Amino acid sequence: MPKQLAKGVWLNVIPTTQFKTISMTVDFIAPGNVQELSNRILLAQLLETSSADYPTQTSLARKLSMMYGASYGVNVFRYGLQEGLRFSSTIINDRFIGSESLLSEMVKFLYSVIYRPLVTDDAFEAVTFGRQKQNLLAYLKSLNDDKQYYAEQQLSQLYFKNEPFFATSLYGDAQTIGAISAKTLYSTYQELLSTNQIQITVAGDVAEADLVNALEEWQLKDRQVHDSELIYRRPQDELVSKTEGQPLQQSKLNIAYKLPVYYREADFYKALVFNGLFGGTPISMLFKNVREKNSLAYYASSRFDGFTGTLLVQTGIDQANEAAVKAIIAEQLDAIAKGEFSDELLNQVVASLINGRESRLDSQRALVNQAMLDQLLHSSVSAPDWVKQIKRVTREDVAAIAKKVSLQAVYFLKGEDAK
Amino acid sequence: MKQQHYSDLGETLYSETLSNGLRVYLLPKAGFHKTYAVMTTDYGSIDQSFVPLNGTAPVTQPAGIAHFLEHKMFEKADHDAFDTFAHFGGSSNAFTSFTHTSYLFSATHHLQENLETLLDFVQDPYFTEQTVNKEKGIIGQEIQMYQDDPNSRAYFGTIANLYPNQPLADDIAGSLESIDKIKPDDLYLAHQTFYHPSNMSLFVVGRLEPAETLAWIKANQSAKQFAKPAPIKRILPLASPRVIEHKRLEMPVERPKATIGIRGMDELPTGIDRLKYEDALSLGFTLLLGETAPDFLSLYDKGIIDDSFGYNIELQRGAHHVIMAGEAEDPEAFENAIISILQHATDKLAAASDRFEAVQREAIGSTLASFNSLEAIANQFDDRLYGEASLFDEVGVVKALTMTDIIQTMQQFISSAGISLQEIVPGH
Repeated sequence: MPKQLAKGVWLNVIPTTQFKTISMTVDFIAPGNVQELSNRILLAQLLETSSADYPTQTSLARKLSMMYGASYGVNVFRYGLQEGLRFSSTIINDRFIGSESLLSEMVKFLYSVIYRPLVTDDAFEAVTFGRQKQNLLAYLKSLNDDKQYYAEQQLSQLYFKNEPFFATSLYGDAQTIGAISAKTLYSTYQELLSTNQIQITVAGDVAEADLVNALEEWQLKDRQVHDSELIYRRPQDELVSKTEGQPLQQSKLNIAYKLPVYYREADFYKALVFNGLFGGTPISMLFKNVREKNSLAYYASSRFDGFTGTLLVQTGIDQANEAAVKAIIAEQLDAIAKGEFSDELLNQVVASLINGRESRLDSQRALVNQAMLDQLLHSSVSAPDWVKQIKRVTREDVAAIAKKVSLQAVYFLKGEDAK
Repeated sequence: MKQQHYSDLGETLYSETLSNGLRVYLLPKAGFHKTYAVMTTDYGSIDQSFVPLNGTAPVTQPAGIAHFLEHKMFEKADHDAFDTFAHFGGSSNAFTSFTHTSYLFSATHHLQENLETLLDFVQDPYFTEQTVNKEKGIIGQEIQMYQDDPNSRAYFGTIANLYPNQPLADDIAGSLESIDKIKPDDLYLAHQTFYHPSNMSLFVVGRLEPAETLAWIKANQSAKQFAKPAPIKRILPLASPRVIEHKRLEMPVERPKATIGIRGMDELPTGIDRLKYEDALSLGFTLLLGETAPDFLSLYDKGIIDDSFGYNIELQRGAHHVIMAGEAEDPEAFENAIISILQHATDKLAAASDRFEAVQREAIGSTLASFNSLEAIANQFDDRLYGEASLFDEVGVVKALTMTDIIQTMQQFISSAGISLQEIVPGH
C-alpha cells in the first residue's frame, strides 16, 4: 500500500527478493502542455549530467562507479494529459557486494542531484546550460535519421494537429527548447519541485521503514493535490493525408485511427485483444497478411494507446506497394469486424497477451511503472485479475471493437532515388 | 547432471551433454514467472565455405545464407512454428550473428510444450522452391531497411573495412543479389552440417525445475535419429593483416557520424585467460575513454564528442575488435583525438590508477545487474569461446584484475592492431 509522506507526496515500496538490484524512481507529475513538456526535456538533459555536488559528467560518473556502477537517469514521460519528470537510480543489493550502506547512499545521491542543481545567481550555470541545450538540439536533429521514428512523428503531427501537446515528441520540440533561458528554466524547476505531485517508487529487497527513515532528511513539504484528468478523448475529425519524398530505399506507410476506448474503462480489455489480433503481435493478421502471405514488408504492426484512444499502424514497404498495402490493412480491419478469424487465432492472441502481462512481473522497471501509474489512477488491477478480464473477451467483443475504429490520418514517406 | 554453484552470484547452473552431443544448460531463477530458452548453433554469417557433413569436397554458399535459414526454419509444410508457440502462449524469435544462429522463446505457461516446439522446429527443416522465393521479398525489405539506417551502415561498413575479402565483410543478411541465388538444397545442406546436435547448445533459464526439464529434453531427443557426429570443416580465407584505412560514405543524414574500428591482430589466449583478456580490455577502454576519464570530459567540453559517443569490445570465434562511434560535427577532429589517446594509452593508463577501483566496481556491478535479465544471461552465455569458463566466472575474473594486467593487455592489443576510419557525411 502506498504511504503518504506529505500532502501530494507518496511512497510506494514493492518488496521483492527476485532481483539482484534495488530500483528507485522519484517522479514529479503535473498536467502537461507543450512549454512544460519542453522545459522538462531540457531539465532532464541538464540534471542527468550535472549538479552542485557533481558539476561535471566525470565527477558524476565517478560517484556512480564507486557505487558499483549504480545507474542514474532523468527522463520525461507522458500518460495521457499528465507529464512527469523522472529521476531514477538502480543499485546492487548490498548482499552481493558485502556493503551495508548502498541504499542510503543512493537516497542521499538522489537528494543531491534533485535538490542541489548547478546554479549561479538564480540561474542554471551558464556554460553547462548552454552546452546541454546545444547537445539536446543536435540530438533532436539527428533523430530524424531514424526513419521509423521520423514517420511516426510526422503521423502524430497530422493526427494531433489540434493538440500540440500530443503532437510533440517526448524528445522535445526544437523551437520551444531553443527559446528557453537558464534563468527561466531554473525558476520553472523551483516551481516544479514545490508544486508537482511527487511519487517515489522503490522495488527490491527493502523494507518500507528504511525508506521512510532515509527520506525524512528530504523534508518533503505538503502541496496542492490536484485530481486532474488523465485520459484525453480526441474529437472525431476529417481524414488527413500527407505524402513526402526522401532518398530512401524503404518507404514507410503509417496510419492513425481513432479507437475511442480508454485505459481500464469497460471495453479496454476487448480493445487489447482486438489490437493483438489486428497488428499487435507477431501472429497478428497484419503480420501474417502484409508480411508472411504477400511478402510486402519486413515490419507491419499496430499499437493501441488507451490514454488517448489511438490505434497506430506502421509498415516498412517498397514504394510501389503503397496502394496494395493500404488495401490489405483495410481488409484485415474489415475481416475482424465481420468476425472472419479462427477461434484458434483468437486463442493464440489471448495466450500471447497473457504471456506478455505475466512476463512484466519479471521486470523491475515494469513493476515500478505499473505502481506509479496505479497511484496516478487511484486504481489497480493485479496480474491475475487482468488475465481473467482478457480471458473473458469473446469473438463478438473483438468484432464490435473493430467497428469502432475510424481512419483519421495517413502519412507516407516515399523512398525515391536512393543510391 | 552437473551442478555448479556460484556463491558470489547466488546462482546454481545445471548442465549435461546429451548422448547426441547437445549441450544443455539449466538455470532456475527463484521468484521469476517466465522461462526463457535459447537454442544456438555454432554457425553464423561467416560460415559460408565448408565441407558438408559426410561430404569430401568443400562448397561455398551465397552470403546471407545463415540468416536466410534462420527465417525459413519457422515455416513448415502445414504450419508455422510461431503459431505453435503462440498456441502455448510462447513468444518466439530468432537472430543471426557473424558466428551463431539462435532460436528462442519465452513463456509463462506450458514450458514442456514450448520446449518441445523449440527442439522440433529447429531440428526439422522444410524448404520448397516456393517458400524460399517468397522469403526473398521479406528479407529484401529487411536489407533495404538497414541500408537506410546510418548507424547500421557505419557499423557494418567498419567491420568490412577491418576484414576486407573475408566473409565478415558481408552483411549478416547478405545482399539482394546474394540472397537471390539461395535454393532449397543450399539450406538443407547448411542445416544438415551445422544443425547437428553436437554443434548446438540449449540454455533454459527462469521458472523451471532442473530434473524435470532435463527429462523432457532427453525424452524428446532420444526419440530422434541423428547422423554420427563429425567435426565440422569450415574453410575461411587466410586472414590478411591488411585493413582498409579510410572510407567516406554520403547519405541523407542530418549530422556526420564517425566510426573507428580497431582490429586486434594479436593471438588471443584460451580458456579463462581469454575472459580475463576481454575484461582487461573493457576496463582499459573505460579508463581511457569512459565517462570517468579526464579525456572524455575534455573532448566533450570541446564539442568533439557528445552523448552519442560509445564503444563496444567484441570477441568472437576467429576475430576480435573494438568499435568506437559517435556523431561528430567534425569527424576528422574526432578521429585525431581518439587515435592520439590510443597512441598514448600506456602513459594515460599509468596515470589512471586512482580510478581503477571505481571502474572495477562498476564492472562488477554491471555483471551482477545483468543477472536480473533472463535474456541477458542466456544470450551472453557462450560455452565454447572461453573453454570451461563463462559469464558466470566474470565477477571473479574482474575482482582479480590488476592495473598491470590492464596495461599489458592494452599494449598487446593496440600495438599490433589495424585501425580503420569510417565516416558518414550528409549528402546524396
